[in-house]
Amino acid sequence: MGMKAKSGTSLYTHFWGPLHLVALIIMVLFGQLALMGNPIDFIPLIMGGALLLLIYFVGWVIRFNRLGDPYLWTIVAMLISLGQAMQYRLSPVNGVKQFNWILIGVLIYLVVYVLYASLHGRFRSVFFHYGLLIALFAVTLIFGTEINGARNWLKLGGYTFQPSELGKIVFVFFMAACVTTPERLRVKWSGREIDPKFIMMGLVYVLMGFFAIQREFGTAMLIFGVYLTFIYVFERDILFTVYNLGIVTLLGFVAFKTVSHIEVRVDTWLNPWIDTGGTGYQITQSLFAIGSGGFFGSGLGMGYPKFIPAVRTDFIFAAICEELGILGGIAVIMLFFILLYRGMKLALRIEDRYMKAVAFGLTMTIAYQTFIIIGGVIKLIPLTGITLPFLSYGGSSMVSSFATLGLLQALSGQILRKEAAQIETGYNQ
Amino acid sequence: MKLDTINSRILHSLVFAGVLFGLLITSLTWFELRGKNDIMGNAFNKRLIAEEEEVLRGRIIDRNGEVLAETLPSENSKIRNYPEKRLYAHIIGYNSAVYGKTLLEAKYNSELIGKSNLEFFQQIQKMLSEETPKGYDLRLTISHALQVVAREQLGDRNGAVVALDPKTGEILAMVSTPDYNPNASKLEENWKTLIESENSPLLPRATMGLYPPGSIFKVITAAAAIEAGKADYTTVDQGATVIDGMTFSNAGEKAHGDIDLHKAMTVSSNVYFAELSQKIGASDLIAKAKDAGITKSFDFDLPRSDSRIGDNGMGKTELAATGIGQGKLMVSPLQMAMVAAGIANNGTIMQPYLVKTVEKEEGNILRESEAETLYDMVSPSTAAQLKSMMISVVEEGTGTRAQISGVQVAGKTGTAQNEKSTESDSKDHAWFIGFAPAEDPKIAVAVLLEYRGEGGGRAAAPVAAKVMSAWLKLSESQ
Amino acid sequence: MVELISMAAKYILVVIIYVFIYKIVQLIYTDIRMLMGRDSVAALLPHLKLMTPMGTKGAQSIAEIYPILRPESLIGRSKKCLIVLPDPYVSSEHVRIDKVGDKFFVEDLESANGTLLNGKKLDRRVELKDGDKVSLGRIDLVFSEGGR
Repeated sequence: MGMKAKSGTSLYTHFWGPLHLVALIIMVLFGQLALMGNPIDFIPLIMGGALLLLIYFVGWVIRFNRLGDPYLWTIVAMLISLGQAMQYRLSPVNGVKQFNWILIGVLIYLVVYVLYASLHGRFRSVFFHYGLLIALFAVTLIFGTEINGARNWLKLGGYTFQPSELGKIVFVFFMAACVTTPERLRVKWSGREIDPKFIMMGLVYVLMGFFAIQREFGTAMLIFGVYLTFIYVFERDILFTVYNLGIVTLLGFVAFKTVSHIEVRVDTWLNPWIDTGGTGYQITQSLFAIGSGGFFGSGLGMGYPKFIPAVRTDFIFAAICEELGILGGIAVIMLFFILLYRGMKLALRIEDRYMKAVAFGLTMTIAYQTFIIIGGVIKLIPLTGITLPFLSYGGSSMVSSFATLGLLQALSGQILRKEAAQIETGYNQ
Repeated sequence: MKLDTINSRILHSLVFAGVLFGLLITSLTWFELRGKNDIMGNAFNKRLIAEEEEVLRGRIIDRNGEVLAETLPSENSKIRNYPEKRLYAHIIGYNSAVYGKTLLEAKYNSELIGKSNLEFFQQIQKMLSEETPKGYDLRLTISHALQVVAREQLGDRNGAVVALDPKTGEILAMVSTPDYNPNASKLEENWKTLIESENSPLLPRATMGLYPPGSIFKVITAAAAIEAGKADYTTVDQGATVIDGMTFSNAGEKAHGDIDLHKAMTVSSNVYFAELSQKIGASDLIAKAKDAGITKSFDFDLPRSDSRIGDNGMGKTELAATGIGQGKLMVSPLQMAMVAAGIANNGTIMQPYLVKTVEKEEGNILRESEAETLYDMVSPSTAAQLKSMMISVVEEGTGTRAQISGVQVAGKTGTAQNEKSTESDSKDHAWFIGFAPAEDPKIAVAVLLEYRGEGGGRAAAPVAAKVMSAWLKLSESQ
Repeated sequence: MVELISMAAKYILVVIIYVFIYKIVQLIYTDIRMLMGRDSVAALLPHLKLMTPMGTKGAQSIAEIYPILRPESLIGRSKKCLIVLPDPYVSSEHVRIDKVGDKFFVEDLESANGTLLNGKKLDRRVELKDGDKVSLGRIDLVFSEGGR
């Protein structure tokens, strides 16, 4: 009877424990990075220290203000710590830039939280969201710059960013609006009403086409995955989902035969060893890296991740597998899975359909994005050029990941709180 | 739609995502455990080179410590130096940034760069020491002095010499010609020529070359006869015989009159052995050849070719041809040296090996090879009979040019017809296998001279004699 | 030397990451168990959890959740109380929980067998903090601020 209560009381009771472990990881990783200099590199120490402060500070903000699910931040804190250590190791100069992006990302995270909480009811219009997407496309098409063969970058005062990173979030809102207020999509064609779901389908395919034209096959795949899952969940008739799957398979086949670029990608995926120096270069270097670390990795700084092309962006996962081991890679996959588990749980518990759909869509976006890029890097599926959330180098990626997180956090915190308040007033009567 | 349905579909999506992620994890694990093994050695994997950069590659030395390969500093990098140039090209191979690694440099790459199943504490020790890590040295079974003699004896003729210690299986010398200079600068200079030459200088004939054995195969035919109880066969040799419509004649169509196994071996009578083979039958003959290792594979330090023989369904003429070492028979010099060693070693062929020890520095042994039995070719009594026949061959038969003064030598000559032999221009291979001293053999050899057109007794036997006597002198002084 | 540290570090790193994952999964699992069959919303509000007695495994689980909404909540054996505890060692009106704004206070109402707050005897009005355990009779009540 005199024992201290150890069972989980509220969500926040055992909040600090895991964060301390993240702190430990930061100390080990950045300590190692510091020791790699002659004699000591001070920047990692400062960076590690700043990161420590950051994770505890944000943790405290969430804890103190009860801003919803604390595990979201805990997991992301671990991911960005691993990611940041790797980024600095790969390029100290860019590592610092990436850290700045993390700071901005966290800011966005908190800002989005506040904004969404107050605005959540307002912007539910289907056409608003679709219009936004079209606008993004138009701007990129007209003003866009081409980088690495894809014309999907915008230059703004010295910074380049990818509008598609923003687009995929807007897409989720668009889909959520479509499935919850389908009546807005009613169109009459020679007297007969067309089922809204076909309108939606048309709009989505057009969108996918836009992405395909811009050579953003990864994003097109992502959009389609999210779309398909949306219609599976929200459309009573499962056959509709099956039809869509069939259509896309057909389209994919046609694309494979006609678009040489796609055929090359698939051939390279099936056998990159034929042209190890050319088309197969990226994926083979990635496989060499993954294979050379063993289960525990070659150790931070001890491997040769720089032999991998695009290692800081698309192939960051391969670098992690090389230096932190297969076990490190598996841990990252598990962390993402726990993240999406929390997101799904949130989606299950929200009662308002629109917000349920948004939570669900954002979660599936993270799920598919992670699967597509990791799958491509380990040669499970053909390689596409999308980023790994929180780990890949790049401002657009980091900001969009944190924005997504902020939205999920907002949904978990504010929304449920409001619902609880409604019930409380019900109680008191 | 009902909320419950939506929620359950959401759950389905979660499970689906779980399956996808599970696939990722399984895929990664499978790759690590299985999938990566075939690809990690790919030339495009720059890590192999990078790892090497940091280590001083180990040396390769002969059994007495003569340096055959070492890494020397040069300007701001390192160079792999082969002081004996061509002599070991077909054993050690080369270690080139451009052309890759071959032969021993490839097979023992891990040891040479010091990466091996080291004990945990040794690994820690290595990490604590500040000096450039060194790879391990390979001490070969080869005797450099003997290798020089063997090479000298081949001269400018194409062919191979393989010398083994019959009791242990150690390879004392192994030469293949033509050879080439494996030093990097020369390699690059000559690469195009080497690749395109019809002479195939890059082919290690001792291990990879396959040739019809000709009469040296008769020792196997004899062994098959002895063990099948057909060794008491006698016939009248009139210089030629007809088997199933095909004529088999002796060299120069020489007639030997009444002839038994012992005499037939001594004079190398084709007539006798062609007829004998019919008595033995295809299946027993092939079985005995297999006992000697023909068609069989074994683990070896270098890539090697399996020897070949026809199958059980062969007709009478092919059987006769096989009995005298022609037909579909194709053997490597290494294989025949092993046969000679087997007879010398009371019928047991020992596993041949090239690397004696893997050493940390001189004398500090990490791994040592042990003599191992490979095939039980014939029974000791059969071996004794074969040995006595082979002694006759050298004493008074076709192999008199293999005699060494003061030493009793056993051997068998061979002159093998091949695809290039014609009526007018003989390009027959010259073979000799043998061992010495007969009563307590210290060395067994096989000598092959490609397409010489000279008889084995004439051209190959003297080479064998020189090599064997050189070794006997060398081992005396040890 | 650096190599040695690197080698040690990589094992340490992997261990820590997996302990982390394990802890998170464990916490999530307890959350799920806690909420099985519970009114999901009730746990959002400040509430008291009635804990089952210490089992053989040494862990307690939650038997019931009581949201605290009124300014004054009585706990005791009497049926008048908000939380009725039919334990012989519990007085008819044993303890009172006061809600003042956002704060909660617990006070022992001169019960026969006394009340323990986190193991220490409760002799005056004390503010309740998240996680506090109020023990009366043979029963443990754990206070939670809520906010799932």
